[in-house]
Amino acid sequence: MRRTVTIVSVAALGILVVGSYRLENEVESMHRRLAGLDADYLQEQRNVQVLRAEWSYLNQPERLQELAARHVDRVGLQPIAPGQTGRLDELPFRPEPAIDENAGDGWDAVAGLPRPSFKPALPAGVVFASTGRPQ
Amino acid sequence: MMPPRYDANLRPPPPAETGARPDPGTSRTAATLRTGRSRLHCLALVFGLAFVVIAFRLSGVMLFGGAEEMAVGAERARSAGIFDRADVVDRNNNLLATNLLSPSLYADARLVPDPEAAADRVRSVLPGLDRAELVRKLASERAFVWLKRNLTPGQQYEINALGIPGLGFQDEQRRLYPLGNLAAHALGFVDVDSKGIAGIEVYFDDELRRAAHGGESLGLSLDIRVQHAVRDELQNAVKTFRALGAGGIVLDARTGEVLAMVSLPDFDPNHAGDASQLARFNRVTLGVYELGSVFKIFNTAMALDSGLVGLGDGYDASRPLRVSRFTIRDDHPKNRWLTVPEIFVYSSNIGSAKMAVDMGTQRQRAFMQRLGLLDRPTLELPELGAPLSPSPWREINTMTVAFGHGLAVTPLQVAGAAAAIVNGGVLRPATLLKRQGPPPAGARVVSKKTSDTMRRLLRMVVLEGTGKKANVPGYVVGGKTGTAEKAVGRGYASRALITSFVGIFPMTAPRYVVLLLLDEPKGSDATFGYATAGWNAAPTTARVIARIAPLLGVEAVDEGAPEVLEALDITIDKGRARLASF
Repeated sequence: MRRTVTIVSVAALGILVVGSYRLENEVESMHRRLAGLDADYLQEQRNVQVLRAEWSYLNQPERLQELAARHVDRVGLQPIAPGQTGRLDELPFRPEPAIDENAGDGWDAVAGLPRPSFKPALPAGVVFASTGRPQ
Repeated sequence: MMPPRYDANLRPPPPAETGARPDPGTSRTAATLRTGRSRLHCLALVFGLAFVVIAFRLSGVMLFGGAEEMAVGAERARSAGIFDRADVVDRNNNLLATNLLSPSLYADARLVPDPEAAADRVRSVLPGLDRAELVRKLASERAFVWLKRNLTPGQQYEINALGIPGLGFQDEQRRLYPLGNLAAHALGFVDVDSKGIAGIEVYFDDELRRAAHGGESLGLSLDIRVQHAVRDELQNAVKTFRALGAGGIVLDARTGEVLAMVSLPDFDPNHAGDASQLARFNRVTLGVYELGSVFKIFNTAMALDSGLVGLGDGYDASRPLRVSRFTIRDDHPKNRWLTVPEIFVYSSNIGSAKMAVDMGTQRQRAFMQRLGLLDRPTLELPELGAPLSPSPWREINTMTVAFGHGLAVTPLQVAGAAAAIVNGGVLRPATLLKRQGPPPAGARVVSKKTSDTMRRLLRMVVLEGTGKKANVPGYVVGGKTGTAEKAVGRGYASRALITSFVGIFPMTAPRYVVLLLLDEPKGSDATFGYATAGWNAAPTTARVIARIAPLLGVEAVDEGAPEVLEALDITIDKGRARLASF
């Protein structure tokens, strides 16, 4: 009886020791991973910050105005003139398509609507240049 | 065999001979064993309890959430805000000021072998450094000495490539203003240790530091698109009219928010140290000017609001007014009896002065006080100029203040007061911060009726009077010109002018006030030699309004439409009469 108790408790001790060692080890490695993630996060934050600053720098109204003026013949951006705006309620409603009650399948109901057209291709020669960093 | 000698103080009894057990009858041994056992039991109990506590705690954490632990995690994430100064953004969240890390070069002078040679090599990369000072620093034997703050990555690479022992880099935060000059005077700038020195940066220094940890940013009322339009047009005007400088402000007439604030010449806050004193000077909030006829807005509003003068009344403006050694003349003389609307629309100094005298010095002074024109303006900037008001306030001062001389105020205050006159009569403090929620109640300065009349009169100035060139078809612009001679010493210089224009649109229901001012514009062939406000400030305002109105969502209307004409019609005493039919 005493023997069994001793063996069981020694075994339990062994298991506990190994278990806690492994647990400790695992926690430590998780700590290391967390520190790594923290560092990555900080680095990403810095990168985001640089990109935000660059975005703002590249969007300087002065620069955009100059670009729009330089490429006016290609993009054709002009300031809005007073007559060029309108309200939504000034638009007329689309005329109701005539629906034939006797038509066979339901598709005839939409026969009068314009079919979706292809997205127009970019005009030849337009390239989206990747932007360089400031400085 | 002798019984073992037993001394408890020295050591435990040696094991007994084979098979022999300690004599249970020996009472001392038994007592020791009992004590040991009970101690063991106590210890076991303590450990057992501890384990039970730990077990409870563990199962508690595992089963029931662990809100505190979550909070710890969130705290970690928050404290990861890496910069110690918050961003500043405009009303549409465009970045105006932010932080970047940039390397700074330092030296451990004890490790630098040959200061002279090292200095020469460092200067091959950074030629801006003074050689003598560099040698002194490198030979100082100090463990840490800054050589150059905020290098570019390229410079860092080149210094590294030199391979000089004892040099090192440390990442430092640097305040960056990505939009350069655009909003320089509003933003201000910081010193090399990121401490606010001017503008918003110093006014909100503490708040910007505190907000940095939460990752929040400071939202200004400025709109960079409007800001750019104003700056661009003012730059053109300065060039065209060969002016010394210019200032401009766009105010939301209903909320008091400043949408644009420009002072020319301006500077780049990224290199504020290189800027001249003049460039750093904010003409809009710090400069005080006698703005001339723009003040007739306030004079006329005061007269109409008093109830003593109606639109049908008038004053004799047929000959110049002589008061002691002064003579008051009209710039656009009609040489006849003028009604109150005519005095305003044709900008008659004589009529305005007589009207002011009629109202009395007390009333004028109280009215200017109510409009906030006698106190230092309020705005979230440290650079605020106190007005120069006449002291004592004599009758001659009453006359000159009526047409904007003798009382020097900041353009900011004039724009704010003009907004109050047209927005229904309520003065709201101007602000550089984006308003959250409804605007403050403000203080009533004139009645709704007076405000309504002034709205119509201001429109007449643009249709019939001195501000014709400020008209932008569709946006129903109203406004008032102001041409003032610059005060030089104790007198005025007739060749040096400050011209200004207060433009308001749309006059049917005023939403925005634009005040532009030009410092010493010159006449040209295109203006037939004139340098008055109607020839420079007014057309510049028109260009600004044409650019910003679509940005601000102001709808262009047909100015001939009956409801627009109705909203701007002027009723004089009994019956209706158009001013044009006078």
